[in-house]
Amino acid sequence: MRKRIIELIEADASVDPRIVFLTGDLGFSFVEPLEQALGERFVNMGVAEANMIGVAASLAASGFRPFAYSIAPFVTARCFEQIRNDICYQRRAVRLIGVGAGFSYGTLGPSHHALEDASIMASLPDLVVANPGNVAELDRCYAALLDDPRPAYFRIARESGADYGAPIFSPQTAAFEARRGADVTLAASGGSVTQCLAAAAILAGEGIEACVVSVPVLQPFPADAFAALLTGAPVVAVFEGYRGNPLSVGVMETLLARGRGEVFVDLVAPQSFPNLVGDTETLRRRAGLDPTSIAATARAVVETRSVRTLGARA
Amino acid sequence: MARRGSAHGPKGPPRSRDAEAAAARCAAARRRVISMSYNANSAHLGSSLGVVEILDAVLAVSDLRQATARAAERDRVILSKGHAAMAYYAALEQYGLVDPALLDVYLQNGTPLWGHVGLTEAAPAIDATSGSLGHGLSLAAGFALGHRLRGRDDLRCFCILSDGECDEGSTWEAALFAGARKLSGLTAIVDYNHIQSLAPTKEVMDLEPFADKWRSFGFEAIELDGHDWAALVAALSRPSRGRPRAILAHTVKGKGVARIENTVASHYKPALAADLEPA
Repeated sequence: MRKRIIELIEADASVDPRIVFLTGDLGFSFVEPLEQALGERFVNMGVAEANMIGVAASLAASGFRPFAYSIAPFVTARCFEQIRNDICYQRRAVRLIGVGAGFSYGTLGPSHHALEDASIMASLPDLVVANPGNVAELDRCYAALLDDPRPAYFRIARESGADYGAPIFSPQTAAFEARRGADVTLAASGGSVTQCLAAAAILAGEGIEACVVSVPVLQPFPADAFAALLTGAPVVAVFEGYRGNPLSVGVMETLLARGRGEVFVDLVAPQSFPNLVGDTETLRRRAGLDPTSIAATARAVVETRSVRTLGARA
Repeated sequence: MARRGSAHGPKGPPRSRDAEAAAARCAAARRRVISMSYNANSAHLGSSLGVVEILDAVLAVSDLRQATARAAERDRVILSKGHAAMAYYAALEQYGLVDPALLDVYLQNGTPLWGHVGLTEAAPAIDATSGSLGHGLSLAAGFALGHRLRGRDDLRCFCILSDGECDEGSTWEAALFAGARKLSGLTAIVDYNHIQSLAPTKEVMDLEPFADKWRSFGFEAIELDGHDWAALVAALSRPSRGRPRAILAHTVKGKGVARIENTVASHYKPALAADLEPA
């Protein structure tokens, strides 16, 4: 996905001289083609993210289309106030690119994990948060936000994601079925969609058909598009981030507004810093966000519901 | 397009007639600041009174005029010490860049001018929001980089900072960037009143040797009396030396209201009715 976002910007820059790419001295082996293509419009800002954001804001004010690139926590948490005041308050259409969504950077440690980035970005007025789960979704998100006057945060996982395709969507309609199924709905975003599809495959082997709904734009939450996909089946929200993330909140708000009383389970990462080393898969497993754990949760929800339904009939 | 003979071309040395007109503008701006503070019961009186000559000199050398305020390619002015908003609004008024009626209703509910500088349609000459310290120099550097990418290094970006905000690491991130990139269109003017929010800078976080710090970051550094309008204009108008410029303007916080000059309290206490009378 890192490679793809660079390719998209490179293609865009070849036809739009307003594009300026700022990097916080990161992107080794990915950004070099962009440097070649952009010349002086590629600027290595050094390891100074706060300054990078301020500079990006004024470039946007000057009629440029700036991208600001770094590892997710460095381009969100490190420079949060610059994003809040210089970009959002001033309404500057900067594109923030944060690579390493969720547990992407595994063994590099909690300093590099991005588990609160979506929440803090979604808390800001007018900032669009895109969280593509595969290359097709990234392409759609990029195109949908191309001429959007709002600032945007692209939360980019290291993995490319499963090849589940993606329909054309706008930020308002960014929710769709990546897999159909009537027994339980797994609502996910970003890399968790791929985890949910693997969980659905496990469940299918047991005769449980799971619907997997992907939500590639988290803020503003596409509530109407998401609600249209709900069937009354139990809903499990899956997000590689802490509780209170914009997927969980959006799903819960939508369910409450419907008032149909669907069973709901929120699968998120524990709100703590892990003490022991783990690679991406291990960290997901510990957090209950790997396919086996997601399948187990979904199975329990379906079985509990069956028991309840039988009990009501008795 | 080119309005100046050379990069940063000076308009010539300030003449005494210019200085007299400037003195009248600054006196009027001070009266305006005092009345705004009194009417709105607003803090930051001392911060505003001390920066009056700096703001007038910056507007005098910039190309910011009513006719150009909405232009994309023009000089940029950023008051990074956004708490001196009253002085900025008063200076803009002197140059016809804000509706005087808005200053009459400063801080009343439903009006557009906040207590810290914000972007507003009511004053398109305002180039940046401020209020949280340590943001302005990066914003100015971004405008300077934009000018460079357009091949307009002749355009200038002026950033007025407080001495206190030079405690912020982000100020020095911006300085490092501007120096390394030789953003010659950028001029930082520090309102060096030697007092920050709770105590003198020397006690809180000594900035000295301050000029040396800027020089070591790749700036040309000039120290002067921040109430000497002619000296300010001369320093602001000097031809570029191919690197950004820092002007350390020594000022008196609360300048013009004797009872509050050089006091920490002038940061917080509004003007009194007696301050409205000419000294």
